[in-house]
Amino acid sequence: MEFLLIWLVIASFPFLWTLWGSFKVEGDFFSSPDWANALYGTMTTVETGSSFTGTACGGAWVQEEFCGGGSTR
Amino acid sequence: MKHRTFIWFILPSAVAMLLFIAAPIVSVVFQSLYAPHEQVLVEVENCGPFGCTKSTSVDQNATQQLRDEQPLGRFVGGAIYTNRSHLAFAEIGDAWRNSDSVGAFLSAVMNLPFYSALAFTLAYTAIVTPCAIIFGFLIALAVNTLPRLLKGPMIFFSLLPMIVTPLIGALILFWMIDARGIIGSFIQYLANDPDLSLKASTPLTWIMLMVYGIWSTLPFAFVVYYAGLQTVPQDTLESAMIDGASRWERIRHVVIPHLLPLTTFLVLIKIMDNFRVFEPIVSFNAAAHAQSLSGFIYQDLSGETQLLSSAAATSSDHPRRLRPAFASHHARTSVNTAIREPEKWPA
Repeated sequence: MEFLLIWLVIASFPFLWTLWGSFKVEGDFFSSPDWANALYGTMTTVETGSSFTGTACGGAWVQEEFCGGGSTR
Repeated sequence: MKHRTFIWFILPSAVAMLLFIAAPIVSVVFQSLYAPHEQVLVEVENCGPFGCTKSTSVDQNATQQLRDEQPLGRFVGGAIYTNRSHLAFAEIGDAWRNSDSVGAFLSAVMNLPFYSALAFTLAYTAIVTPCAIIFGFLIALAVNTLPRLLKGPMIFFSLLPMIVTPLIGALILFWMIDARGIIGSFIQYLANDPDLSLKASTPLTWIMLMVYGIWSTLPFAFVVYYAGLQTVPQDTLESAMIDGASRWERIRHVVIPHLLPLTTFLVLIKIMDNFRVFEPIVSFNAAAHAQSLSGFIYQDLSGETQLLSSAAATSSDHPRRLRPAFASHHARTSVNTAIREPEKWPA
C-alpha cells in the first residue's frame, strides 16, 4: 500500500503542482526560499491583490515559451 | 491454399511494399554514395580608376552544366558513412594510436557526435526498458489487489504521465527540476549544495532524462500488465493456495509464466520506443549534454537541408547582385573550382 501511495505521488504530483502553480505568479511558483509562498500565494497577493490569478500565462508560462504568445527573452 | 491463389492474394501487398518501402530504401542507399557537386567558382578581377580588385563568385552556368551532366552528384562511395560526422573511422584510428589508456580512448571516441549519441541511446534503452517494465509489473500487481472502489482513480492517476503529451510532461518536469523549482531545490537540499544544477552536469542530465523516461513510459507497462492480470486463471491460483503456496510463490510460478508473452511484447515495444528517444532531449533543452540517435539523425538531415537551402538561395540571388559590377567595370575572368561555405557567401 505504501508503495502505491509513493507511486501515486510520483505520478500525479508534477501535474497537480503545475496546475496549482498556474494560478500563481512566477515569484510564487519558483519560490525556492520559502515554498509556503507557493501554497499561500504571497507574491500573487502582493502583485494582484488575490492569492489566485488567471494571468499566470503572462508570467512564468510566457517566459518559458509555453503559451505560444512569444518569448519575453 | 494453392500457391497460385496465395500469390494473387499477396501480390497487391507485395507490390505496395516494394514500391513504398523497399524502393525508397534502395534509392536512399544509392544516393548516399553520392555527394553534391562542388561549386564552380569564378575569380573576377575588377579594374577601375583606382586600381584592380579581385573577387570570387559562383559560375552559375558551369555549375548548372556540371549538375545536368551528373544529376546524382559526384561519386564518393562510402566516404559519407566514414567521415567525422558519422562513423569517423580515421578519427577512431587516430584516437587508438594516440591514447595512453582505454579511458583516454573512450573519452576521445565520446567526443565524436555519432558515438556520443549511440552511447546515450544504448544507455537510455538499457536502463529505462527494464526499469519501466519491472516497476509497471509491480504497480499492476499492487493495483490489482486494491478494492474495486479505489481501482478506477488509481488507474487514472497512474496513467497520467503517459496520457499527457510527452512534450508537456517533459516541460512540466523541466520547470520543476530548475534550480528554482521545487524538485531542483529539494535535490540541492539533499546534496547540501545550493549551487547544484541538474541541467549543468552531463551525468545528472543523463540520470534526469532516464528518470523522466521511466516515469513517462512506466504506465504503458502497468496498463498492459494490469490487463494481463485479469486473465490469470483463478483455478490455478486457488490450487496453488490450497497447496500452501505463498503470495510470492504464486506470482513466481503462476502469474509470471502466464504473463511471459506480454513481457516479450512489452520488451520489444519498449526497446523500439526507447531507441527512438527524442522529445525529452528537446523539452529538457539537454542537447548540450545528451544526444540521441534520433536527435543526431534530425540534426544531420536538417543541417543538410539548411545547407542546400542556403546554397540555393545564395545561388539564385548572386547573379542579380553581381550584375552592376560586371556592367560598370572591365572584367577578366579565370575559372577554378573550390568548395565554399555558403554562410560566407555575399549576403
